[in-house]
Amino acid sequence: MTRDRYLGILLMIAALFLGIVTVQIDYTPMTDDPGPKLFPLFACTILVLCGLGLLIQSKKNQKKQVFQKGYWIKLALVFAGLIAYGLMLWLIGFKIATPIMLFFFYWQMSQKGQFSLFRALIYTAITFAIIYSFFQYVLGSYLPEGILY
Amino acid sequence: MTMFLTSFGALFLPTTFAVVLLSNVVGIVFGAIPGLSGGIAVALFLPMTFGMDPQMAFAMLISVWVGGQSGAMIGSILLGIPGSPSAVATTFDGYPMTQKGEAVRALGAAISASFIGTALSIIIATFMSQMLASVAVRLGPWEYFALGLCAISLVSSLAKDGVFHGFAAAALGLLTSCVGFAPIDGSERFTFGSVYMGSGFDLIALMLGLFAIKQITAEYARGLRSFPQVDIGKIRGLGVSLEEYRSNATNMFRSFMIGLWIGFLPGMGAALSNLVAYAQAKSASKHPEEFGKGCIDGVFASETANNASIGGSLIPMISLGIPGDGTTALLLGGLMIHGLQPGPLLFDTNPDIIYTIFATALFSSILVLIIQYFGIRLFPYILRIPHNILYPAIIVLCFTGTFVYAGTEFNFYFLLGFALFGFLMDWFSLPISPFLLAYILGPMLELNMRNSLTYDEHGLMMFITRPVSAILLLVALVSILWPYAKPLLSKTHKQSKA
Repeated sequence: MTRDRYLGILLMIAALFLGIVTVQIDYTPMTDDPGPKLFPLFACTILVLCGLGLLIQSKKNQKKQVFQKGYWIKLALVFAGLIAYGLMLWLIGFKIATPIMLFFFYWQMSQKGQFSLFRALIYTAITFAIIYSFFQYVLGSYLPEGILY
Repeated sequence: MTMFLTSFGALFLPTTFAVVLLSNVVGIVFGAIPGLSGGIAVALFLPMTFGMDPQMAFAMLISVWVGGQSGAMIGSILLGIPGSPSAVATTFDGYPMTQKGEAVRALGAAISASFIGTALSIIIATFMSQMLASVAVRLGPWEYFALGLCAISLVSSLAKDGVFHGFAAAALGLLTSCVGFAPIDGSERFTFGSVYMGSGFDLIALMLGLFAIKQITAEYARGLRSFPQVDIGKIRGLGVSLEEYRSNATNMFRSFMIGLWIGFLPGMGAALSNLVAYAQAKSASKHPEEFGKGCIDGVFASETANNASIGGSLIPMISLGIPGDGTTALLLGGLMIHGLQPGPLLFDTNPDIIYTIFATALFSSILVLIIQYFGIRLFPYILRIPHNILYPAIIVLCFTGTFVYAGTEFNFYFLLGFALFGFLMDWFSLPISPFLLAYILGPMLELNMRNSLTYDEHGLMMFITRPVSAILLLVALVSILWPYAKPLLSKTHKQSKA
């Protein structure tokens, strides 16, 4: 089965699920107003038609996507880092989470053999100071403080 | 005319000149940095203007806005991360040009197109505001719905992998826009009981997730390859030849008209015009296969259109008191804060303010051109910054910008969720532009769809009986059928020749 066929099936399942959720929306009807269900159902109909179209008209010679060795591991690692950063911002706040994250990604994104602990610490301190000062003092923005404090 | 020239002359006063120049620079910087935008800069500057004289206040706000609109292309071209939604289409060809070592040429095309788009649209807005505004008043929900649907169809039908992929992406965009409270009756949809989903997905989180975070994570997973070096020494002027300008004259004119018209329609704006103009440029091109691979025509189209929307959106803002987009809504608020009532009467009560706005916008477009002309040789140095210095800072800016915009950590889930969704879309060859366009237009489309059905006692007939609506729907239908009709027509043409 080609990727288009998988997509077609997925789109129809998504449309069916969202369609069912849509018809269950509770609302008070107003005079002549078609209500909040019409537009999502309109979009679901387009999705079903596209899903059917992809199933019928699926291309047989789809290019196979080629990924370098270790692509998925690296992708998982960077996403884990980003999720951890989001969680840290929520738990311990901007002032602690951001330097940790800057240091981690500086280390991860350094070319092989070019990582220097001293340079990483200087980079972390300067970048954090610039971004923090800008948002805190120039924009006067409220930054995550962390729920643990 | 005299009043316009007086306002223009006042901008040369040393203090005003310094404020306008500084505001332009700030606007460009905000526009260029992912996570910030010209709109955020206007929001930031607005409270600073409370104690100012209204003319100085608007000179400052308009300068920031014009700078931000033009500066958004820098991130799109150099990093593949649009500074704002108005520069999304610039990414499609601008970034591939950078990857081929043609960053300065792409920047040159974008700078000149930005200037042409802004300056001409402001001149038109200055002299035709009152007249054009009366046209907009006559358009009803049928025309707005048809226009939105037409724009989505035009962009979706040009999807590289076929119309089904394009329309599937658009339908997903429409459904994404449905999350939260529905217009008119405020019913909750697709929130699954979460209070954070009540106001729907935040555009900043969506855009930064789909572009910035996805781009950085993909680059990292692929092994962080260096950009080709740009030989700045060989570049003359803006790096674009006269022949390239000449061959893009029609493209720029068409994109300008699209940008002006879309900017002029309330509720739409540069976020839409750049995508529609890009789709039209690709559709009308003799070499559409080059689009998306580093074709300069795409950069000209997108940047002319999004900047033409500046003049376009000023028309309803000043003449009718209706904002064309989010940033003009802020400017409108600024007018009210200074005790001014936007609308047709403003021409009689405060013509000095109106002409200050127009004169500043025109003056700023010239200043931005000069600043960027000298900056064009400096901007590519961004590409020489090592990835381990640039990318962690961008990630922090994305997270912080997302938080500051909405004030909740829950937006981080949206940011990361949309990055993953972007990967899925790439995997299934679903194009991002119809998705984004449908997401932006979704609320406007739904509101006008419901209003048109509520107002009309003859059901759907008004969509066909009103000429503008009928033409737009016909264009939408043709754009859907065209990919199938084109090969058949050319086959018939070849057979008749033989």
